[in-house]
Amino acid sequence: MENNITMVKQIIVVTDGESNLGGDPVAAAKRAHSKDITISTIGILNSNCQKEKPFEEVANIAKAGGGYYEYTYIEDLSQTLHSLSYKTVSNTIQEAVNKQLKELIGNDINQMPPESRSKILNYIDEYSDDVAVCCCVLLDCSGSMTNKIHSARNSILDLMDSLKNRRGKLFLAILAYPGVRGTDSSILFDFEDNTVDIERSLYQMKPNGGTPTAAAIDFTVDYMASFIAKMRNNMGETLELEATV
Amino acid sequence: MAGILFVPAFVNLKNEVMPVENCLLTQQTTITGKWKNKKYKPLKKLGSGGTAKVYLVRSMEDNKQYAMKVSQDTLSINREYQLLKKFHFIDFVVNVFDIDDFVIENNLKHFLLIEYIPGVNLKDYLLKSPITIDIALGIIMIILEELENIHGLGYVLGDLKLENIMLDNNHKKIRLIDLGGVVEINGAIKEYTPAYDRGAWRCGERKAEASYDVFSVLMMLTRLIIGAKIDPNKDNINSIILKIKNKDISHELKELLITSYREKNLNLKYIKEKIKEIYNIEKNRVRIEKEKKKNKVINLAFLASSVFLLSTFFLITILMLVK
Repeated sequence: MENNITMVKQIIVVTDGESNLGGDPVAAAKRAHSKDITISTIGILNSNCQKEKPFEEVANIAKAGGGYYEYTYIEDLSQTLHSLSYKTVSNTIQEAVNKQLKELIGNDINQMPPESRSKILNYIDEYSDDVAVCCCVLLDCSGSMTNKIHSARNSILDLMDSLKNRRGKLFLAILAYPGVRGTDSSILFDFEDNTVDIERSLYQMKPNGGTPTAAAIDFTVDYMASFIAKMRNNMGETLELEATV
Repeated sequence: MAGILFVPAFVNLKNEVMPVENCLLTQQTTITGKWKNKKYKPLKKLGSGGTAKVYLVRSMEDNKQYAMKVSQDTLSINREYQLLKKFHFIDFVVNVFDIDDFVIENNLKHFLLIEYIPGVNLKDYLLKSPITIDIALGIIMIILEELENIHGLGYVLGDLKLENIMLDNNHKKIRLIDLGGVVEINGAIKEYTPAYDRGAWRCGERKAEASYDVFSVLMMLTRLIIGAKIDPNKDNINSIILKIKNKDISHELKELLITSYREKNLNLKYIKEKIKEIYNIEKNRVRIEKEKKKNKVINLAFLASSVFLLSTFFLITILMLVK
């Protein structure tokens, strides 16, 4: 089967509260989704009490961004990051396949009996492991994250460990918001960073200040888009070739 | 083989009714499969995990009971169906009978019809009563044996844990009820539970290799020995090793667990042979300890009766003297 997805582009926003600076994060997520970038969110719960409001925003950002959202305690962040990133990849491919099926035969997968469906699903499963993934983890580093930053750092290292065992290529970057010196966000670990010492770059995370979620999403989207454009220019032909094979 | 060892221990356990909170299906609903038109009556919720919920249902076709696994995730339901069919000939793995969809409240759900296994899972069993070391080793031996077969087929179980192992009351066997984590060898682990995941314990990569499963099995054994919950967020592998050292188990078993947790490339065959050896050692030790206890009781009874006898004599002599 042919497929026009050569790369799954996803941003995972990890936050423990709602945006309190800058624009509307839901609108930012919508803009990202229109550029074929999926935004998923993870809301970190406090073990004791929780306000209702931050939840809504976490769900709304993911809905607008075409991704999943999940609430978790900081202890379970590793597992949540892992399952969310895998789920987003296979779902993105499933959606693309569904779209093509609709164009070809007017039906989507669920309108076929389970036995005929299984061939396509097996293919999606296989392809989910092979497809190149471009993933940005956007981590809330506002003041309220201070006590959780150590666990968050470990979870991100953990995510890199599990994603690198996929068959397909992986491009991963880690961004924090707010950024250093009063910026909205800054890159902790960039796509092209070849240093083995990710841990050290992650130690730049210094929680403080407010939560400019919208601006951070916009920044990440632009950063991802420019990276992909640059990469396409460099090795556009190779990617095209891979896609046809 | 060792399968019959632990049966008397769990045969009397009652199957408890789960609380009905956030049940998707109630006893009032009748489910009709969208494609095969078969009807099912939900009886109760058996459990939930990840994206799926499992119900006990009665089929209105043959009036038999089945477990129904319901999920919105068509990919994972399809994957599990294929694997359950592929492993159909392995008794250890639960049987699958059907795959279909149903619509509830305008939502399309996918389901698998699976063999219902009356009994308890190992985790719940452990919560109710401690498991003696020889029984724990017997269970682990069986799991390793089955694991070897599955690896031979080119697959890794991935998400192996106590809650996925059922003590089957009908067949007096242990059974595996969830294949959600199964991946081909050399793939990436897609589902895991931190307590049994060597990645979370920083003891190796989260990669689908035979040794990944062996680590999970050793963690299951450790859990059976320690009895309490273990959590890589709170403990590290060294504190687990310390807990093992403080347990009343044979030196050989301690040695095996401790060296294995420091080993990157666990070998299933080697561990299996070692567990077999230790099983005999522990069985002997348990027997000797029981005998020691028995002897203690006998000694105590002897002591008590001789004291009684002596005091009677003493009293008689005093009485005689007084006269």
